[in-house]
Amino acid sequence: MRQSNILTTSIVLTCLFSPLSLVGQSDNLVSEMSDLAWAEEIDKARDILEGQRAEAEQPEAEWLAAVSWLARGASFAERWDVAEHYASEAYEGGLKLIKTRPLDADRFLPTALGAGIEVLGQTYDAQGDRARAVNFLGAARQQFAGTSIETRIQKNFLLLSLEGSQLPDLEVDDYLGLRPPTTNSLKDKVALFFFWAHWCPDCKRQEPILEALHEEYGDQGLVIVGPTQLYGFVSRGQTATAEEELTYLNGEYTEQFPIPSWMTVPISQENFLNFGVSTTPTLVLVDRSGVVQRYNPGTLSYDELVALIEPLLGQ
Amino acid sequence: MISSKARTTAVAFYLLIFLVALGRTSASAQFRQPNAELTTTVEQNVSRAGETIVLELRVDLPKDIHVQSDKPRDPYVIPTLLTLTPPEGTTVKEIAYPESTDFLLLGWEDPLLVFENEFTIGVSLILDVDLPLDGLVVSGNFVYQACDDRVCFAPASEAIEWHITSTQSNSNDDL
Repeated sequence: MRQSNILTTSIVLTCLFSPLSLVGQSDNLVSEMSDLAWAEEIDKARDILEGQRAEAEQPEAEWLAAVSWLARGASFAERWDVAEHYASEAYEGGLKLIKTRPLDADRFLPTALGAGIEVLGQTYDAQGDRARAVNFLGAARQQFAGTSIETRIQKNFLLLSLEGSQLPDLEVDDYLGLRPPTTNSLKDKVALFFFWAHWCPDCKRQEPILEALHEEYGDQGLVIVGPTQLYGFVSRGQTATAEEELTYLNGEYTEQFPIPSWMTVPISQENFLNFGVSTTPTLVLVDRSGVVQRYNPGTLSYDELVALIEPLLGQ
Repeated sequence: MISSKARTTAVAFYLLIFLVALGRTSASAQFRQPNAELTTTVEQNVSRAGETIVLELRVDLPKDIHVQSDKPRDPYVIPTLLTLTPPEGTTVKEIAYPESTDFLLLGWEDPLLVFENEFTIGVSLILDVDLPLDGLVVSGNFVYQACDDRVCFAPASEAIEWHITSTQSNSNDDL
């Protein structure tokens, strides 16, 4: 009996004081904040977070990651005062921490800092100050160039700044079907860029809508370009080299899903970076003077696209 | 005081290995991915070397996000895939995925087979009889590709680990 008690005590103590247990507890707060953020339960998240706030001189990255999730959740719910408060905490706390360690040396730090910057940019824009948002994100993009959060900042920067800007140059490392147009050759056309991926179900759903648009507006000057990039996969999720994926795209894939004659397909990762595209489909609509009029991550219906395209064709 | 005989008996009969399940959650990138939270656990039952233990990977997805099934109907999507690198002295007996569900995309005839909300993948791992369990780490990789009803996110690959800690007592001095 006594031995059993000793063993039981050992187990309990091991579980209580294991460093990994403590990691698990920190992770759980991040996870809990994430769940509440997606559910937009902002008040509940704030109560839980504030209930666990410790008056430490310098909060750790795990804590800041949890804070950043609350900021994100508040931005989802458009509670911009709450979003700004917690995004500022995550951002400023993250800036202090990177003075003592590289950004990517801690798995929670990129989350905290990246989300802090993202939400602050969104908040400034939501407050009606797009110039401040673009300036802030532009500066952050430069500050964090070459780090894991660069793409994240780039996307947010482009989301706010691409509309109204000149179309970035179109890069063509390779292509499917007909040779893609140059940026210059698109002048005087209304161009709809459809960023897609071969493994993306939502993209396949968008294609019939694009075909209908081509049939309706192709002879009025609508040009549809479908940039894609290589992802390192072929069918059934098998990993592939770039060469194997290109062979797959030109063979098995296009046999099953032929590239339509009305769409050219440049292949280049640069286009995704230059347009700030990280999700597919993303639709970018450009007017006859080469200015981006709509930047839309996600699908759009036929009617939604018609409402955007017709005014541009009439210009 | 515990007698020497009692200590010997204790070692012989209580050569119990306690696999302490410790959750580790991955805070995946919030931007490129819709934050699939991954938690690894080890079955907490008392086990002996030579037995089969069950490792679990719990995947929590945000609301309205799904990932493709491990056996999708559409061969052109990227299946959810858990792969393991079993350490020497262990053998993967089975990786068991849950049932997937139908997800109907608007304007698309065939429903996709997907996982939604929270799901758990189980791994049956056979431990060799003479395997020293203390500090055993089982590594794996989890590949998934997530979408909602309007947008898809780039495929993600996350390294995961199960940490198995033994509180096996080999020293009489501990008792």
